[in-house]
Amino acid sequence: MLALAGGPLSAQPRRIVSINPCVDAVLVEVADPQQILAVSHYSQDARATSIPLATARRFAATSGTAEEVVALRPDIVLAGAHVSPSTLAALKRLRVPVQTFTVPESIAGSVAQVRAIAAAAGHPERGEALVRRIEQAVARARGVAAREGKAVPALIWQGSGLVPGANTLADELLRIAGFRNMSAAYGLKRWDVLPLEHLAARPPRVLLSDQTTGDRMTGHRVLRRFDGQIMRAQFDERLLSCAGPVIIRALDRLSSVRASL
Amino acid sequence: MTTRPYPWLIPVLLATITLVSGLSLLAGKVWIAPEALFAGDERWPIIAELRMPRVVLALLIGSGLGMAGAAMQGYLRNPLADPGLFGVSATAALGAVLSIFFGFAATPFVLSGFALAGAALAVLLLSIIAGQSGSVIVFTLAGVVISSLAGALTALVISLAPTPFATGQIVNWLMGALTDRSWDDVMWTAPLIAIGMGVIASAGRALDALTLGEAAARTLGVRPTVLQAQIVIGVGLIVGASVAAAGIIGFVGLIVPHLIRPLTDRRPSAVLLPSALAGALLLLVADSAVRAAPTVSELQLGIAMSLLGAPFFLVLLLKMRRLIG
Repeated sequence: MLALAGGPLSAQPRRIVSINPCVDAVLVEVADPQQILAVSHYSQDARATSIPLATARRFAATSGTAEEVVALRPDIVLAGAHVSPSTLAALKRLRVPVQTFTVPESIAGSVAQVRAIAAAAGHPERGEALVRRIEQAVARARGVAAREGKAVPALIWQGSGLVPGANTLADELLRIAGFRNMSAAYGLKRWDVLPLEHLAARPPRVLLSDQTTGDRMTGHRVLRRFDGQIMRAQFDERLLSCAGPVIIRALDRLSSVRASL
Repeated sequence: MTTRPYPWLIPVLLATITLVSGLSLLAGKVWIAPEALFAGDERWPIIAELRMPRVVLALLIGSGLGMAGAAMQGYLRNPLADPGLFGVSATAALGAVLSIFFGFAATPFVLSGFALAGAALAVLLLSIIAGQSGSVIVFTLAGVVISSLAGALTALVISLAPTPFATGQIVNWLMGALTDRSWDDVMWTAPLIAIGMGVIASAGRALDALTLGEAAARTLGVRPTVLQAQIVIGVGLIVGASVAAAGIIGFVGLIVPHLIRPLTDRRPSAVLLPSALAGALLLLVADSAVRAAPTVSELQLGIAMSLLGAPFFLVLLLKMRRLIG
C-alpha cells in the first residue's frame, strides 16, 4: 500500500482554500467544485467579486484569518501577496502550505499564474484551456484594433481619480485594444491620482470610467466643457480588480468601445 | 498615608481577568466547544497557537497602555494626556508602514523591528529637543510636533504606494489588530512592556510629589530630568512594543485611568497598578468582542476600541460635568 502511495498521491485532487478573490476567479475555472473548501469573502460581495455571485455562493467563504483556514484542514492555501504578514506567519507555524500570488502586471504574468493555480489544483489541462481563451481574446482585440487603425488617446479613470499607468495590466490591455494610454503623457506613474488640470490641458479622446459609482472627481463640472471632445465610456471598475478570466471580459469591453468610435 | 477606599479593587480585577481570559479562548470565527478542548480535539492548534497568544498579547498591551496612560496623566497633570501624545506611537507606526512600503513585511519580525526603531527615534528626538530643561511644556510640544510630522510622513508613504492593493495593506495594518499574532510576538513584546512598566512604577513616588506642584516636588527631592527620562523611556518601551505588535490602539490609555481614579485615593502612584489591570481587561474584552462578532471580515481592534471607548468616555464626561457644575 505504502509503496503505491508515491504515484497515485499526485493524482489525488488537492483540497484548496483560497483567501484571495482574484485567485478565486481562476480557481473556480480550473478546479473541481468539491476541491474548493472555501473562497474569499470578497467573492461573495456583489461590489467586489470577479466571479458570478451564484457561483461564489456555492462555496463556503472565509475572511482569511488563520483560524478559519486551519479549521477547514486544506492541503494548500492560495493567497494574494498583500495578505497580512501575521496571517502568513501563523499558517506557516501551523504547517499549512501556502502559495502566494502577486498582483500580475501583465498578461504574461497572469497566464503564468493561471498555470500555477491549475497545477496546484492538479488540472493543468484546464489551465491551458483558460490560457487559450485569454489568448483568443487578445487576438480578437488586436483584430479590432488593426481594423480600426491608429491608436486613440484614452484614459482609464477609477474612483477618487486613480489612473493605471505604465507597467500595469490595464495599460497593456489598452494598447492591445487600440488605445494609447495618456497616463504616461501626463507624467503619471504606475497607479497615480490624476490632477484634473492635466485632463483639461490635454483631454484624451476616450475616458473610461465607472459611471455607476461616480464621485467628486469623475463628476467634476470642468469635464462638461469637454463634452464634445471627450467620449465618456462606461468601464466597470471590477474589470480592473483581477486578471485571469477577467482579462477576457475587460478586453471585450475595450474592443467594443474602440469599435464604436 | 490614607487607607485605600476600595481594598477589593485589585483582587476583583484579577479575578475578572482570569475569568474573561478563559471565556475569550472560546471566542472566534470557528466555534470549538469547551469539552472538545479537553478531549484532544485536532483543532487544538487553533486554541494553542492562535487564540492563546492573542489573549496574552491583549493582556500585555492593555496593561502597558493602561499604566502608561495613568503615568502620562500624572506627569502632565492633565486628564487629557494619552500615551500617543509624545509621538512615540506615530513614529513607531511610520516605521512599520515604511517596512510594508519597501516590501519587507513578509517576515513579521522585520516589521516589528522597523516599528521599534521608529519608537526609539521618537524617544531620542524627544530627549534632544526637551534636553536638560525638564520642562513639561517644551516636552509636550516636542511630542505633538513629532507626532504630526510622523503622521504626515505616514500619509506621504501611503500616497506613494505603487498600487491600490499596497495602499490597502498599509491602511489595514494602521487600524490596529491582534489577528493571527503568535507566541513569537509575545516573546519579544513581553520583556519590553515589562521593563517599561517597571520603569514607570519606579517613578510612582516622584509622580505623587509632583501633584504638589513642580517647585514643591523639587524641594521633596524630585529631579525633573530624571523623572522625565523615566516617563519617556517607560512610555517609549510600552507604546513602541504595542504598536510594533498590534498597530495603533487608541483610547485604552486615555479612558482607563479615568475609570480607575475614583476607586482609589487619587494619588498617581495608586492609580498605576489598577490602571494596568483594567487596561488589560478592557483590551481583552474588546478583542474577544471583535473575534466573536458575527461579521464576515473581522472588525479591526483599533476601531472597535474607539467605538467602545468614545461613547463610554462621553458618558463619563457628562457625569463629571454634573459633579463639577
